[in-house]
Amino acid sequence: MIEIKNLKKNFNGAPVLNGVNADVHEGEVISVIGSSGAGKSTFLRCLNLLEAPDGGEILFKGQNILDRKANIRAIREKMGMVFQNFNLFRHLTSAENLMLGPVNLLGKSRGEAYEKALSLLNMVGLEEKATAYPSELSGGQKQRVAIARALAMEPDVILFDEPTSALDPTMVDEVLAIMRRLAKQGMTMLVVTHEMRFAREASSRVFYMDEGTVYEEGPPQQIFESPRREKTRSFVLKLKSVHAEILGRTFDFYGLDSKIAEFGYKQGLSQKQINLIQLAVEELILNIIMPALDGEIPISLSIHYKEDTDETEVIASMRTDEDNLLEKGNEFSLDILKGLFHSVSSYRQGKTLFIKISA
Amino acid sequence: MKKTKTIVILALFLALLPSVTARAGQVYFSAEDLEGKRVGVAKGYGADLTVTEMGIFRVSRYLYDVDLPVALKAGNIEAFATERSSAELMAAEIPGLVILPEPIGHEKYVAVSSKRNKALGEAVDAAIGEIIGSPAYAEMIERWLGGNAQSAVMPDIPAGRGERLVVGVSSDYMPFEYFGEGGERLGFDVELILRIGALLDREIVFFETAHSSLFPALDSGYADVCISVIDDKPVLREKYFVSRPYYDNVVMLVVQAERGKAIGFMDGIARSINNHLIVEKRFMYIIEGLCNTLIITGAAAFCGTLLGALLCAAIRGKRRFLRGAALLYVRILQGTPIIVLLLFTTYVMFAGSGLDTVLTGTVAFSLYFSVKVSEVFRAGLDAIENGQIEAARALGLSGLQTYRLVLIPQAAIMTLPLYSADLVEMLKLTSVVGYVGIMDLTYSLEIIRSRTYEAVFPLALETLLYIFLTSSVTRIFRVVSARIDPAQKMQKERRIII
Repeated sequence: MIEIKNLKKNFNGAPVLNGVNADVHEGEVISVIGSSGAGKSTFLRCLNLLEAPDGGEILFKGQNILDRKANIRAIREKMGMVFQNFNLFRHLTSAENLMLGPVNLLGKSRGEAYEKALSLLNMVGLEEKATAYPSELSGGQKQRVAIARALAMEPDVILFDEPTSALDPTMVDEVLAIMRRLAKQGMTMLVVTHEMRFAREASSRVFYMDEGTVYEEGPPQQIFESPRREKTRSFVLKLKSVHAEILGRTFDFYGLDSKIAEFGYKQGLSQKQINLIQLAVEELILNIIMPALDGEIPISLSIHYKEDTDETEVIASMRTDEDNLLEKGNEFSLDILKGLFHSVSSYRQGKTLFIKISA
Repeated sequence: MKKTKTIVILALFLALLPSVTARAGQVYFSAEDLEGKRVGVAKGYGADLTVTEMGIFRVSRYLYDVDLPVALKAGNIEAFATERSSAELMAAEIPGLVILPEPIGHEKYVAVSSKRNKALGEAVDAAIGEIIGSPAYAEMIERWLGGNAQSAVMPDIPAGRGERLVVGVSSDYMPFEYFGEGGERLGFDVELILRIGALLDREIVFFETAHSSLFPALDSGYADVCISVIDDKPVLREKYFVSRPYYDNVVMLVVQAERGKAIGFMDGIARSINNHLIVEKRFMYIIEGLCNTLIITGAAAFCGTLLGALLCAAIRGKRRFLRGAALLYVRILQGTPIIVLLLFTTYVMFAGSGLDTVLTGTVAFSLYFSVKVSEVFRAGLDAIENGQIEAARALGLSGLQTYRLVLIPQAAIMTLPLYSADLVEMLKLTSVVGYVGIMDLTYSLEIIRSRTYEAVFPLALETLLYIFLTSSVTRIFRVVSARIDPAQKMQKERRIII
């Protein structure tokens, strides 16, 4: 349905998209992943010309949309878009948001558009909010209405630009649920996202963007489990772990807790598992290592999640000559750790001591 | 509640104060006594020149003659100077004034016309000569300047039937030119003008304006000749054609005598209401003034809004030329005081066109308001985040549709309070149009004030009327705001319009 050939886009002279080639077929659900600044959103926004490309070709159903004579508005009517910041029309109710396009662009009567709006709102579970204004809705509800608004135009493809990035972790699921349902119903979707679970479970193909192009693409199993290229591999690997450098007692532990929670959600860990990891980190760092070392020695912390075995590893490393840290630390804490976790061990590599907790 | 009570008591006390303070006797008896003291004059009239040339006083210039006795009573000046008939009228109306016996100067009144039309000037001059030589002249003096002006009636003078002769007057000066009970023109100068019209067989048309605007009116062709207690000064002849003097007047000094009997507060109010509103149906002036104020404000609001919307579009648009022109226009207007703008439209822009000054005033305020409106619209539109535009475009809406369906509704809801505030401010600003002789609410009360010589009542009335107008406007906008901002309605009341 969409063919992208050698797409180029510069910002301030620097190339963000450097010759992107890709194909999107009908019914496909494509997740676009990559580090920040890799050009994922730019790529998406070029497709419906919210950004003007600097080179290349984009063919939508055979038509070159970059042609001077192309009817951009007609093309946009067929490409729905869902934004990270929702962008619902503030002065209109949910139903009216859904009615605006069909009435003014598709020539539907207000009655028709209203019926359709209600049924779409029903589909996303928000029919009772038909007369509510966006300011009265939560983030998740707003995004669901936004999706319904895109659907109201009966598009051929829907572009999602980081649809859940601005949402509280608790509201991410309700939006992803709608998206999964759409995917199952056969809607063609392009989703720029950081939600790896969605990318793995719901997409038919994954584009990993790097170096200003689609660095590697393939089915989710390939990208996530056996990536073929170097950078894909390191990206995917990084996804599965979280790091922190703890320099001293003034370290932001609350921030670390939050980071762990986020990581856990993304990996699909249960709340219990997340709490366990946070506990492990707290006991290990605060009650065992720091008191034992007594000085301000930097501690490197990393938490790894192994999908296949559902195992989490917490590894703390520091440069020290001490060997018996575990014994020197708070005995009570050590008991807790040993009781809750699979294994607690320490080993040395040269000057660095490692302590590992496996769950 | 307690606070209100305190304020009311304080106000009553202050109001009654003049009637209970010690009486002072007359202090000044001659011009020499007033050396170095503050003497008030009405700006631009003959007394001004006299007093200035004498050089021994500290001169305070007031815009209106009627402010002089008020200032004297308030203690802002020790004396004021004015021509004799005015002094006599004031002394008769206001208790506690004494006219010093020695005149301090002379005023000679002349008719002034443009040098462009020498023939007219000469004809008027000849007519004046004829009138002075006729028995009618003595009658005129007796009628208007004999101290009986209150009961004077304009005699029947056959109207000329020839070409129009537009005569500029400033009818706020009894007994020379003023309005009577039924709105008819009365006064010495007025009778003179009518007689000139009869002699020259020309139809007299009066052009009413403020005294300081008489010469600009002559310059721009709004008036052919001005006869309105214009004192003969040498400098006049350089610019205009000046007739022979038609009346010799003297300038007198007026000081305070013993304070007159004080009037009780409540009696005072009753008397004030009578004087200001009922006598001579003066409230009709106020009604006319009110209408003009509303007309100018309303029309200027309408035109200004349209113009402002265009300006806003030009400034936000892509064409650099339009944007530059619009910004220049805004810059110029923002730097121009409203009075200057008013004078500009009246005497430059529409000079000689004969257009009603209410219209030229409306134009001035439309220009002024357009700038405010454009600023308000721009602020409203700029405040809408880009995402709204992106969502609209992504749906497939055109630029125009985006404006109509998404941007303007949101901007309107947001900026209605600002717009309302600017409108109210403009309504208050229209109070300066009296400066170019438009009779609005303020000017109408000034005219009444010139007859009653009071300050507190008319000004308090004026203030109350303006407060009434402005709060009505504000309330209307609040209702409108509640209706167009549907988010303010409760959820269960909402309906989607099919």
